[in-house]
Amino acid sequence: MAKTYDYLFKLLLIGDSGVGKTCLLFRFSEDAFNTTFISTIGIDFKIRTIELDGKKIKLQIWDTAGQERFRTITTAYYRGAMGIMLVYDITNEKSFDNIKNWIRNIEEHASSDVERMILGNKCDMNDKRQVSKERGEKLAIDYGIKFLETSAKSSANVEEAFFTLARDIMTKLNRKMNDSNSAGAGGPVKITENRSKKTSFFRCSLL
Amino acid sequence: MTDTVFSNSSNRWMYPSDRPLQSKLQAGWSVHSSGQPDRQRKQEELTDEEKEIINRVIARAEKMEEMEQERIGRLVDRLENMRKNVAGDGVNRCILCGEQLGMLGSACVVCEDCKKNVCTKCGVETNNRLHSVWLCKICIEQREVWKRSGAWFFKGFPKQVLPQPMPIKKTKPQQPVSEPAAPEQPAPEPKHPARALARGDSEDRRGPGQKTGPDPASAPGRGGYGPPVRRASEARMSSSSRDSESWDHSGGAGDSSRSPAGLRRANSVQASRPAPGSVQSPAPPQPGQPGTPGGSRPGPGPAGRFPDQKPEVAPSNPGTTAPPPREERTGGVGGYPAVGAREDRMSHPSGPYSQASAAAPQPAAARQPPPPEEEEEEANSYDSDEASSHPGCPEFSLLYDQDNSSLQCTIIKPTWGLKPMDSNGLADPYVKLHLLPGASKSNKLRTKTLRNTRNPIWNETLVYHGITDEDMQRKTLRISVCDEDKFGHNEFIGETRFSLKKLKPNQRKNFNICLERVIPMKRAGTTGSARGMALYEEEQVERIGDIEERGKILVSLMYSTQQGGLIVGIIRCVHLAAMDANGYSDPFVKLWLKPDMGKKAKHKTQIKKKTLNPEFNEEFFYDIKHSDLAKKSLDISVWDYDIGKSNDYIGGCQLGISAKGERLKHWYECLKNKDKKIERWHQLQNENHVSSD
Repeated sequence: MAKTYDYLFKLLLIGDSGVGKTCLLFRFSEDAFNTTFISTIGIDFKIRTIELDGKKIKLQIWDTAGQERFRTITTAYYRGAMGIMLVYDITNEKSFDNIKNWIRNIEEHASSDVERMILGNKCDMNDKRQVSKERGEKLAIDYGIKFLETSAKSSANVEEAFFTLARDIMTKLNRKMNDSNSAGAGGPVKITENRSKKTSFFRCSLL
Repeated sequence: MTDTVFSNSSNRWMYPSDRPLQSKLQAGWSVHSSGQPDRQRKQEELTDEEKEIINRVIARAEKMEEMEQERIGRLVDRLENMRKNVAGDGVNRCILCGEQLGMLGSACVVCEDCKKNVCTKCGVETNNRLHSVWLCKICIEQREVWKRSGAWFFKGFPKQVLPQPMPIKKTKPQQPVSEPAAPEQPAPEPKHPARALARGDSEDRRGPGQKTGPDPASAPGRGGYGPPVRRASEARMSSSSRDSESWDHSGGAGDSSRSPAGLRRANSVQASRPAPGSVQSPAPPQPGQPGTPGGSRPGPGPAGRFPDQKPEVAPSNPGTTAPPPREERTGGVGGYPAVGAREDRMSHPSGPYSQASAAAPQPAAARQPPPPEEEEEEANSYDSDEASSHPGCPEFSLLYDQDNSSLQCTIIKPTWGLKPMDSNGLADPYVKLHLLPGASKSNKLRTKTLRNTRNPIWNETLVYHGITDEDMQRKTLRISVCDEDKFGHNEFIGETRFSLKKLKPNQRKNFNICLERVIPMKRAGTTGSARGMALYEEEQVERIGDIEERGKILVSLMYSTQQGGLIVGIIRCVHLAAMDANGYSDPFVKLWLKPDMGKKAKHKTQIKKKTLNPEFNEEFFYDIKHSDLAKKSLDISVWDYDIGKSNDYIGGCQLGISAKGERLKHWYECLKNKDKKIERWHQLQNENHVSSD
């Protein structure tokens, strides 16, 4: 209650079942790891407040079930997300191939402004690797999305991943809100009183 | 598909087979190579357990969303306040400080967003990508609100995009609730309407600024991204038109729109009403849709302008788009727009239903515009100069139910007509009750208002909970009859006082006591704030001699052998101390099973906005062995929720083996009688509490 924050960012984790979305979130929110696999039922979320540029940012991170049968439920949460993590498992080729399907899903259901990021999880299991880091990078470049290989188990890049996504949202926020002067130039501005003819030179602003 | 889900007016989860866009859905991709029929079958396979788990998550998210909405509300409130306090015209004088601009005055710049002229002190130069621009402090705040609320992203104030809980097919017995989220479980539960109502109410009780604030901003919704500029002006417009609509003539008190909803809520909690009451008490037919009536409001509300937005936002989010309080209170049946109702009354002062209302109160109640603003203040300000005829004698009965610690006051009717108060020779009377000493909003109850009648038949029972023998010995019931006036200037018709000492327990007594026309001891000033203050002082005076009362809490304890744990029920509080300047608190209850229980030892209820008699009806579960329980003690504390600063401690009590008196007894009985739910009232005390969270 007294815990105040400046911004609330809503993030979403998606990806095939078993790629480690829940573990990533568990690592990030609780700094813990559990090897037993408990399939997420439908949806869940966790909270963590971080600080960026002196602003307190509350992250509400939605974890989704990868299983197909929960798809209707999970897609309902796309639209409220400001950032989406696409997670695949580097030891599971199929989960990597499906990333493009997940991206298509985002395009269909999420806000067009949503920030995205691809994570290749389980990078601690190099011996079982099926997807090279280069392929992950290539895919990310193709879509113009940032990419990181992570490990919820060793906690490699987990913080980085979430902070990067949060920072991207923050950047977008600042860009949008600080440059928005031009956006309203043609908008209907209701004027009730007579406005002074006198205008300062600042008004002749360019875009 | 998402859109389908959300724009669906019922806003419920649909099974795939019900889904209109099912074909589209199926045409989608499939991760697993399983065939479509298989997939569909699988989807329908969600078990009740799974649905319950999901519902719990949704409930948790809703809770968080509520808090977030409150936070946004405060932000908007602040912005509104800034707007209200503008001193200049933005042309020749700085819009903010009102300083003379131009050659003779201060240097002038134009705010980039609102295009108003401001002095350089009230403007801030900000760097855009290409050049620097000036913004006035209001527009800076406006941008800040956009950033903080998430409106920057969602192109409007974010709507709670949480789906409704999923219906569970088989009707389970209401499982003993194990966490705070549980009351928000599936739809068919009877609790739901009440909850939706409570939420709408909590919305009502927000500051006026908040109410006008989110409206205009939500209007554009996903439709079009207008710049902050546009919204700023809209917000101002709508707030100013609202002003003229209701605030100004209601006496101009800052929080005029706050009180009635709070009072109404308090009443509906406290009063178990006979039939006519139910007509009036708001019971939205669809849980989660209290927002819809607002859509039909002809006023400046956004819903009217963007009707297509309504289904999307309103049902899913009572938290942000709740209509102004009046509609809320009259609810489904009497959901007349306030303004309309008023005009109606003015144009047909002795309208066709004036007769009907006397004969059959029911339709009148249904029609009735909501109770007045600031009835309390207004009634006490009493500005009528007619002191002519006899005010009338109300017939009422009192019953002190000792076992349930409740005092039931049934207001029936006056034996002969009240004196006319309105120009049409009729009155719009209502009765309010106070327990003295300590007259405050916390112990006020009122009946509904009956329209245009001098022969009101209320037949309403108002109940005071948590009344002790001691109260019965020393308290006095004040019954006052007031006339509700068009513009909220309620007139005092008369009052009578009754010492509760004279009442025998468990014995109903009927009374016919004539009203005395007592002029309230303090004549309040004319301005809203002064009036409020006077009232406050009056209450303070009356409170002297009353030991510092923090209120009482009704708690239930049950040790469930089946679940292996303690179930604590927080049912309600009464007569809580008011912690906020508005004379109310926003109470919630925290539980702490001590010691050594770790994180799961703490629970808290939802926050009930602006009330001193909150009804929680929440149960919490502690997974603990019976043998261990004896060593623990349960710390119950009631807090006033405050955003931005630490919560205020209202009072608390500790149940446990080291406690004394009633508290020990309650604990002991619970330990002794396993699987038996034991309810007790406990007096809240001002123990030292350091941390709020």
